[in-house]
Amino acid sequence: MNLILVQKYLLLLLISLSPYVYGQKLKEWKVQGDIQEHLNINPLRFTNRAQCAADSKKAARSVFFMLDSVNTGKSFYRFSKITGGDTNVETKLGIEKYRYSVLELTKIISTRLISGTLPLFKANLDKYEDGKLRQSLVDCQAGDCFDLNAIISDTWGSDKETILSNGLFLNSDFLRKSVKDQPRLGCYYIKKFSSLQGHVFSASANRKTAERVAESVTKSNDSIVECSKLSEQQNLKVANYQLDILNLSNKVWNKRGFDFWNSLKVYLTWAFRYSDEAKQLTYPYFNVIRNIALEENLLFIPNGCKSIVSPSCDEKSLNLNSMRQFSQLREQELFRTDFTSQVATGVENDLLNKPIVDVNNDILNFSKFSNANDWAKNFRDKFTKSRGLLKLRFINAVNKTKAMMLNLPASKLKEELEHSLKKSNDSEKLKSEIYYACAEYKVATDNDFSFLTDEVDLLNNKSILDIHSKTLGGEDITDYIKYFKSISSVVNDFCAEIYSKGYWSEGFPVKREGFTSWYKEITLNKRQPFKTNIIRELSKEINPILTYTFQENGSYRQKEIICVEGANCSRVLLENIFDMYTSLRYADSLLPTNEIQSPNMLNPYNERVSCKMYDPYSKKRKVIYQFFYDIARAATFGLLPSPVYISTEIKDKQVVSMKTLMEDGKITFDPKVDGYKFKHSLIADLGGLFGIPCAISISRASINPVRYYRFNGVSVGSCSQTRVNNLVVNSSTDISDYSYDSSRCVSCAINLETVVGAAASIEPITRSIYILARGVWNLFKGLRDPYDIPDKWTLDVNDAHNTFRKYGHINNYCFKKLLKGKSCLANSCESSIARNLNSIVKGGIESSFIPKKRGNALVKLSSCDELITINLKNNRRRLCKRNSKFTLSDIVIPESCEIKK
Amino acid sequence: MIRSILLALLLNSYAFAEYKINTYWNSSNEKEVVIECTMESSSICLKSCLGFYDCNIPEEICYNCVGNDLFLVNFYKNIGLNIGSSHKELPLSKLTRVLHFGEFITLKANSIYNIISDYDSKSMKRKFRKLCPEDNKDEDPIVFVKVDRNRKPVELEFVLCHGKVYEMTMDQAFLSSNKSIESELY
Repeated sequence: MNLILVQKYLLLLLISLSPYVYGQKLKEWKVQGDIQEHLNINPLRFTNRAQCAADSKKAARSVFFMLDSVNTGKSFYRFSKITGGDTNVETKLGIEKYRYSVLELTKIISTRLISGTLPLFKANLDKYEDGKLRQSLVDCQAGDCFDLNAIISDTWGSDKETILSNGLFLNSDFLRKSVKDQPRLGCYYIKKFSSLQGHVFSASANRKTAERVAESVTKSNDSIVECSKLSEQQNLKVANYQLDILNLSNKVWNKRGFDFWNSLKVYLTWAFRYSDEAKQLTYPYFNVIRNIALEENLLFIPNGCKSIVSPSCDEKSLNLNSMRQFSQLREQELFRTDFTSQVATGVENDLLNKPIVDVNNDILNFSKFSNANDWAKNFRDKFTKSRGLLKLRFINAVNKTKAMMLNLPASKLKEELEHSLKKSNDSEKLKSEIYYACAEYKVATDNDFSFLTDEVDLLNNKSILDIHSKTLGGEDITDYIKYFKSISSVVNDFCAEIYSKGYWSEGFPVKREGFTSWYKEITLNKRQPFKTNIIRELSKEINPILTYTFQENGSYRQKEIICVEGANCSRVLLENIFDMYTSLRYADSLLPTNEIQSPNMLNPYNERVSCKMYDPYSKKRKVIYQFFYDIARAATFGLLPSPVYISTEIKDKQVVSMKTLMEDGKITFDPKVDGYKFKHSLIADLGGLFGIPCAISISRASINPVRYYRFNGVSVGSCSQTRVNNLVVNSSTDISDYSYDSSRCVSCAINLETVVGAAASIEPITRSIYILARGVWNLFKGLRDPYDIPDKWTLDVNDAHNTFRKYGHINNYCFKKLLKGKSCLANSCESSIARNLNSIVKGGIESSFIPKKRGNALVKLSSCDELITINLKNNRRRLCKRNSKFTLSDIVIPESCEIKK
Repeated sequence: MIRSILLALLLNSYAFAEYKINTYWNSSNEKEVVIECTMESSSICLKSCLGFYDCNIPEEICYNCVGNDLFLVNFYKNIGLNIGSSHKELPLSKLTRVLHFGEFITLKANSIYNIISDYDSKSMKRKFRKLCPEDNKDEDPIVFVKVDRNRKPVELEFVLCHGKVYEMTMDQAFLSSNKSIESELY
């Protein structure tokens, strides 16, 4: 019996070692050896500037999330000390549990949303009708999530029928997949940013890019590992992950993508603190971990140009997106930013000053750091430092303004100013102080002179600051502004009076250093990174009137000076108002929030498009417009009279100012659009082109961004192919490399270069041909603009990898096939087999035999000696589909091969 | 074992005539306020422990408190400055009412919510001790903070020093302008 078995195995071994099996030759793959698992990563999407800008309006399928664990670590260290545990062990374990729970909950929620068992929350609240659900979402955005938590609590564990019976959600709130969809989640811990995120490093793709991507897949363990491998996540401070939603059709995703991310964030904030799953995942530390401010420790960042939140041109979005500067700034530059300035001008000024910026060129400086943790640490350090500065500035401003409001009403301050005036003849410092106060109030509050008057009204309407102010035991910001206005009135009247009496004689010396830094910043137009201490010098001479005091043994002890005398107190108040104003500008991104933030950090055109500062289709429109202009001119030259009406030259939309408007406490920018004069009134009768030896045939274009600009009988569009050029002119010398696509686009039989080159010697009869040829030539050239004509290339990392392994390189032919989303293996069966085997069995393919028609496929893997048989004979149609998923019954796996768990 | 000893030490820290009260993390890592009365008739045990000698009152979640919550950052940053105690004693009913409704969190110098100072910071401990009228080195005052319905800290309730309840204040600024400015110049 044993002998028979041995003989059987020997035979199998011999067969498997032979390149010929059953008379068929196994084709050897060029790159041998084991490989990592099939990666659950969406195809890389390389985009140029215009396409990246256009992509900002689409929902991302792949996101990074950065999880900060510093405060968690600090807290667990304390917890361990308090309870007498081992601080090293418990701190590390606490951080691990925290990360694990966030990751697992993210996966659980994503899976439930995708499978349609948990309803989606619409990202756009306007799409809800008035009712309990909408109100709870509005309240939660404003800081009160009590009702929303109750709704989620009822929804979380319930089945669809019960959820629907509650009447809050509709059937349409559940994600409905199409029949073909087989959604999957990919979750990876990022060790190092690599070619697996190649689209953020390059705005275009070529053959070499594809090879680098393939090599990165081979060595993927150096750059990414499964999220669940916590042992690989050694850095205790930060961790970066990549989450991909795969195999959901565009139809479904384009409709519900933003809702999906919004829902994931809403459910995660609840589940982290209140779900049974969180209790189990964090055991035994649930009651420590649930106190963590998850929302300020977690950032969702789109992996590429697409967005997590639909872009809008409001202050909140602009502020959030400006977070990208934390990864771009050098250490010393942090103090030159707008939020560290004395008087913030807001992000919009930056946009106006830099309308065109770089994109997809490693704009977040990933490659400057040896690993992803170092990058995240650098980002975190700058972010938390800025947040800390702004927070303390706000706290300080509120506390001191409150103290002044309680102790120094306008009438009292007036008395103090009079006291100071009386005594100022004996004190140069006091006299100067009064001068500073008057000058500063003049600049800040004078009706004709001030910029602050309008801006202070912004503070009045910023409800988020009221919430923060009340958290500090303070009043509504409105009350502070009212108080400030009453003080302004007193100070301005006081100053006007003493000025009229010639209080300061001509030539009165005032030191420039004595002014507050905000005043210097405005008048000198230069950033002042540090505050001038306007208390120190004066308090050496005069006992301060307002101080923080502390009771000790029944008596009061002065702890910190708030302000010194009347003029000084007025100045301190004004400085506090400026601090509140700066806090306002950045409150959305830098002060604590209820919401997980998701800035579009990799796409600076997100806000440029939403604020109408960049139009991704502008160049294309212009080029095509010019083309029509040319052919219309050709017509006029060819067969006059021909009715041609040409409107004025097309101009870009230009944003010339950003007017800030207040609506419901939210600042919305209203970009003033100027110079957009194009009217789609271009009409030409092209019947006159008869007889010109160039048949313009523009057809089968599936998308046409310029559908307004059509002529009778001829229209121009663009090609839908995902290729280097999205419009190909097929002429005698200018033949595209991709001839198989050309018929879909523009086709013209003229030798363009010959005609254009012969322009000087052109004869009248061919004048119109020349103009027409030049028009086509310019169209061709214009549409090849690498930056401002939308262009994209998609590349599936696994297909690139398998192609590279099979042939040892990726040639031009395969590269083009890969860009079309097609595999370059023998056929769809081989690519399906490669993809599935990589996921099921250990080892990489060394050789394969895929029958062209009938019969089973055979594959030799690096990890085992025997051949694996894939049962294609009866299931070819099913198994060879692009997204087919093999089961173990589809494959005969010899015992020597190891199945992946 | 170490935890038990530490717990015992902590529990001994508030020996008052009729009751002892402290906060600690129990063996299931849940935070609790523990009340132990020496007499069953102690008013606090009558009201808070349904007449039993002792009871544990759970301290629920503090929303977003491990982080940059403005209330807590302001508290730990400015305790001893604008945040302090008036040393005015309040009736014990204030404590029993707070415990009854459960809308509170407690803060100590070494709380897990304190991410401002180092663990065991002497300066922080001193600032906490000064909330009490008598500066007793064995004292580990507990500040009770009111939370809203989302369990975010919103208001200082009082400080518990050696079993007594004292008023807390966030406006410790003092105006000394009664003295005329003429006499201030020196």
